[in-house]
Amino acid sequence: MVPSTPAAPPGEFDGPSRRIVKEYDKQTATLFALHSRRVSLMLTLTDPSMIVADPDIRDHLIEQRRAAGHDRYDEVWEGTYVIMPLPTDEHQHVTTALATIFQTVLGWIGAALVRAGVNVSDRLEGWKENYRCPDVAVFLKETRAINDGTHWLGGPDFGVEIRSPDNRTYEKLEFYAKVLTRELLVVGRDPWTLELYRLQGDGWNETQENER
Amino acid sequence: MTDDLTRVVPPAGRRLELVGRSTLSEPAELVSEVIPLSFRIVSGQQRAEILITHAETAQQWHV
Repeated sequence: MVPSTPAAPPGEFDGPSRRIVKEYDKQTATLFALHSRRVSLMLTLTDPSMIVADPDIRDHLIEQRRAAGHDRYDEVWEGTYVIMPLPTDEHQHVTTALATIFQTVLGWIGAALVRAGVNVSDRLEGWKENYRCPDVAVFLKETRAINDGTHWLGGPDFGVEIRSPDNRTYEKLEFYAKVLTRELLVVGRDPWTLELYRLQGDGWNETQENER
Repeated sequence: MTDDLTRVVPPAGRRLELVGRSTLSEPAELVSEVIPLSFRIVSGQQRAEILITHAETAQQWHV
């Protein structure tokens, strides 16, 4: 989990980057790493926003998260690496319970695939430059999304997003519409609320690689 | 879709619209059109709970 008051271990960062973290570690911030490659980094750490323009720092942070297994819930939004807060125990309980109920209701063999966390993108190639991870995703037998193994091309037939502080759920709605998620249940926990969103209209248009 | 299709490009104007909201004070039942379940917020012992009801069997779960 990205700590609200991140403290860089000794030697973890060198030079300016370490100073930056120290300066902002008492607040809520957003880090943007702008770099030579297309993928940038956005870290919700403290406030106000902060831009990290050093690709080495970006790569170091991402590598650290991968090594620690903290990147499981991270996403990339149109090239911007978004570090999501790790779910609380309650969040994981709701996720697991919903996924289990959905799979039980829909059947364990054949009728639907239920995932408690899965990568959903709008593209087959280069999908790591734009994907989201709904907490629960239901792909019915007749789904038009494609399972590419590493990710799904196209949104789930039914998705669930469980809100947490700073996880930017509502900013994902446009993406979920774009990938034609048919219904999305948003669970709020402070206070407890449910919101059901439904795709207005329907249909797919597909483009081939050479049409991009 | 076929294997050579590589992107989802939705028709213009596709959007997710809020069709229902359930709270403790207004515990509306949200009925899915995709899966045979409905969802509602209800009071619980420790916290509010999500009441899930099967559309066909009426079986219920509290989360």
